[in-house]
Amino acid sequence: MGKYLSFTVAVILQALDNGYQYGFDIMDITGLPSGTVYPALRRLEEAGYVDSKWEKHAIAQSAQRPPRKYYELTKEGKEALAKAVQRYSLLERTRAQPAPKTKPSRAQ
Amino acid sequence: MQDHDHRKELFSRPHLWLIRVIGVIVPRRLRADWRQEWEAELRYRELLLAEWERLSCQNKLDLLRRSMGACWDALLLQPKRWEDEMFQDLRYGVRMLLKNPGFTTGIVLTLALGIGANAALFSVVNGVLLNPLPFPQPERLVMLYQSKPNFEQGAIPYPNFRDWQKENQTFSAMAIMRGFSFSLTGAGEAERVNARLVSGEFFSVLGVNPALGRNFRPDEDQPGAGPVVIISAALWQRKFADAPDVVGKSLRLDDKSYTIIGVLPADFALFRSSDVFALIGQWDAPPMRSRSAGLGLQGIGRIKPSVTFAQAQADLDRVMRNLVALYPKANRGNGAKLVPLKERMVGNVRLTLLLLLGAVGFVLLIACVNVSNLLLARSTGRTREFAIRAALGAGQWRLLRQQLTESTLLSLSGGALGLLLAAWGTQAALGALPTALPRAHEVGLDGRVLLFTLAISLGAGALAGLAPALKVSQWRLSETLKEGGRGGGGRRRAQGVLVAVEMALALVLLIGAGLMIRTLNALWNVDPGFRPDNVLTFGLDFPPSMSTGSPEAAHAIARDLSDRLNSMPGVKAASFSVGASPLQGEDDLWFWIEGEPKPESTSQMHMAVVYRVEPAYLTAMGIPLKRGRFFTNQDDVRSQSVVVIDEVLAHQYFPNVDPIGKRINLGDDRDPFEIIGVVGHVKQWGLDASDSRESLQAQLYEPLRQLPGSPPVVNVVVRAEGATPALWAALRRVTQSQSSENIISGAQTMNEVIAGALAPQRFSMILLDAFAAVALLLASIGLYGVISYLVGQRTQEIGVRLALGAQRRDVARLVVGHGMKMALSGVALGLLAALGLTRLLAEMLYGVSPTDPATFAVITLLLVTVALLACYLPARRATKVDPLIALRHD
Repeated sequence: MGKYLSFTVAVILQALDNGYQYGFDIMDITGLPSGTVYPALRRLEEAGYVDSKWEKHAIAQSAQRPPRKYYELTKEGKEALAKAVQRYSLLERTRAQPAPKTKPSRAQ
Repeated sequence: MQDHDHRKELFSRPHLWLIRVIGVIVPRRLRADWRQEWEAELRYRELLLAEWERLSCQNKLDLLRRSMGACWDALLLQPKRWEDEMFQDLRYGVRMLLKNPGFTTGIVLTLALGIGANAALFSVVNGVLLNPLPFPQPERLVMLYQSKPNFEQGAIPYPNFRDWQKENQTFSAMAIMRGFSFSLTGAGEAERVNARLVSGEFFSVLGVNPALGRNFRPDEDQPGAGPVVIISAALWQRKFADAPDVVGKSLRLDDKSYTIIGVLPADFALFRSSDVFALIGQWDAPPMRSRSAGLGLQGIGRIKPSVTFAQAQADLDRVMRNLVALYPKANRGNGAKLVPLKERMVGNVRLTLLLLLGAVGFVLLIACVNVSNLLLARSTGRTREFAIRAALGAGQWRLLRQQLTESTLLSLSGGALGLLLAAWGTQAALGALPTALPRAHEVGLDGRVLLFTLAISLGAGALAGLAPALKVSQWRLSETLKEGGRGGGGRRRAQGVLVAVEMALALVLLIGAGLMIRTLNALWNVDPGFRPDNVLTFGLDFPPSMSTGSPEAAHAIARDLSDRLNSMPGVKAASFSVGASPLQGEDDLWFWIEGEPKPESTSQMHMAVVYRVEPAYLTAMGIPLKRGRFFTNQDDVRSQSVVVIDEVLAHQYFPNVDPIGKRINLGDDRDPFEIIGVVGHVKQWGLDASDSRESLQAQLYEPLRQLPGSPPVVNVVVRAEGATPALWAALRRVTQSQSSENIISGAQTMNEVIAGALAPQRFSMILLDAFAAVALLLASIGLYGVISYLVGQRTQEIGVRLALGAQRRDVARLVVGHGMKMALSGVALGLLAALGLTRLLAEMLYGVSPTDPATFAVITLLLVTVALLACYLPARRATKVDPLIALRHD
């Protein structure tokens, strides 16, 4: 990752910070296409800004579907986001809109 | 049935189907996770939509659109595949190489030798030729000379230099310098130190500032100013133990006190190392005011930034033309000559170094060919392995890459080891022959050398791996499997070509080395005009007090010591000399023959090398007397002035008359000198062709004892019964017994002087010999390896032949014949190449032609003999094949 994050990447980080942790949820909230979100997540993971984990097997099994992968901001990711927010002040406004606390996968 | 359902499901859910398809191009390591992530996300979304009863066509289309994005995701993961496979190749390669440690070690050592030799020589070329001189904007520094009709790079008379300095318009600064030496007393043991008299601008022209203290000031560079010196870091350490308060202290030089005003940086070096720099303007010698006395003064200048070399040369030409017009008597026929400083420092080794670099490149090529051959031979053993990998789906490109990965691994290990060899070898070589190269202290490993080594390592890896890799990729695998792993004929041909190339390269190198050996041999056998065996030579400083006494007293002191040396046991003859000294120092004078009209300017006079010596000189040096007599003890200040000339002078100026009894003039203020004898010519300038290239050949001897005073510094030559350490000690003792202030310096035997003069040739010869030896070794190992391998491959065939009644002799002939066919085609190729290439050596050769038939014949014979031996050993093994065992194979 370069010195500055692109706006798109910063938006994805912000979405993660707001609690949207799944690829498709991020696409929904940001309106970005999958061909942008997924490669960005992989790059962020390689750079150490996000971590990925698989949801618990039991949960998925009960819903008869494979376990989903979710992403979390790391400490570095949070710092990077904080810097990006200073740079892209528009992001500040989206901070006030955290995701509905019902994390779909864990709740079910 | 289940399968059918599955297919139906895929049709109704095309987005999942798409993920399956796209997943194929995801690198294998990541594929399962990748598919699961996408599938889980799509299935989850599907479930949600179904729950909300909104699984409409519209939303299904949206899911499909999202899964299309996976395509892009998968494409961006492609670089991972490359990394993965590289890693796999690498791991596999390391495993294969470790499985066969003997083979691997052999190859790594071969490459280390080749790469190491190249890295070593390149570090020399880099340090000497490529690196800029260690001064700011070194490309603007030039050496300045006054050219004379017969001498392009002559000394500049001091008044002329001052005019050049004032009149020129193209130099930002100009300085003058002259070699000198002082006897340093009063600080520990008295010693003779190398010094340089320089004008005040010297260090600012170079752009060098003292590490301690200050530079010279302009007002100090004139007669009568307070004597000041700048000293070298080496002297500072030796005499003052790096004391920081050295500035302001005084130094006693030639019995005069000088104030130290500065210490130079430790890395300062220009030509021969000097410990003391004093100002030339304070040197109040009468010739300093003469426009016809050169005094060995050389100029150095810094050209202004916007001015070209040619413009600067033209500018000084103009200045000099004016001086000729103003002072025709002294300057007629003279000009100005500029030489770039770097050219002057390294110009005469450039060709040698580049040739050696070419030669060492040959060694690396041979090493590569050898490794290539070994890899080729081994790849045959791995035919099955490759066939199976190919059958399991490895593409040709993948197999080729595997091979290249392995050869690169080998060459990089070889390169790393080679670098160690180079670091050690360079220091050893330069340490052994310190005088062979200018700028030798600047040679070392730097970034550029490392880069070069990396580049040639990678290049060698690619070169060595290419032939086997291409061969592998050409195999028709089904046939290989059918054949049971035996290689085809194509590989054998490839090996034959490689061996021939190797032999050719080795032959070229061997011939080059042979020519250099003959050259050096010829040089050692050149008659220098004197007999150097058992001759010792050293410099001697009389006490400074000697020059303050009367000339008669000085002569008496010198004569006393001369007598003491001559009466020592073990000494046959000893003589002081000043002026020129064969192969060591030059000095010359102008003369005109009595009866000729007195020339108007020195440029119209004759010139001769001058040796001022004592009567025992001829015996001490072993120079033959041809006619008349040499000096005796009676030829002193009170008797008729006499000279002795050499055969060249006699032949040149007295072609048809007997020179004995003729008289010559050596200057305005002295009476004519009578010629009393003719002696043999001595090689003054060098033993090789450089001697005859010098136009000044006439030589003249003058009795030391007829000089107006005895010089305070002399050179001593001693012919002894043997140059033993005991004799050296005795000479030192006798010299000190006369005065403890007598200083001996630069003691060496005459043979050492000759060896020093031959150092550049010895340097090239030692290196070329080493390269050629390595080449011969590698080439013969290569031939041996290939023939042994072929014998191994044809064991069955040989068995059949033997079973059918072939004689063992026939089998041996078959094998040797096969090997020699390769070797001889290589030799033929090599001879052709050598005929073309040795011409490049011509300038370094002496006494032997570049296409010397004897050298060519002997070297060819040597190579053929070694090749025969390399073939014979495997051939003997072939004759021991037991037909029964051989046929049982397979």
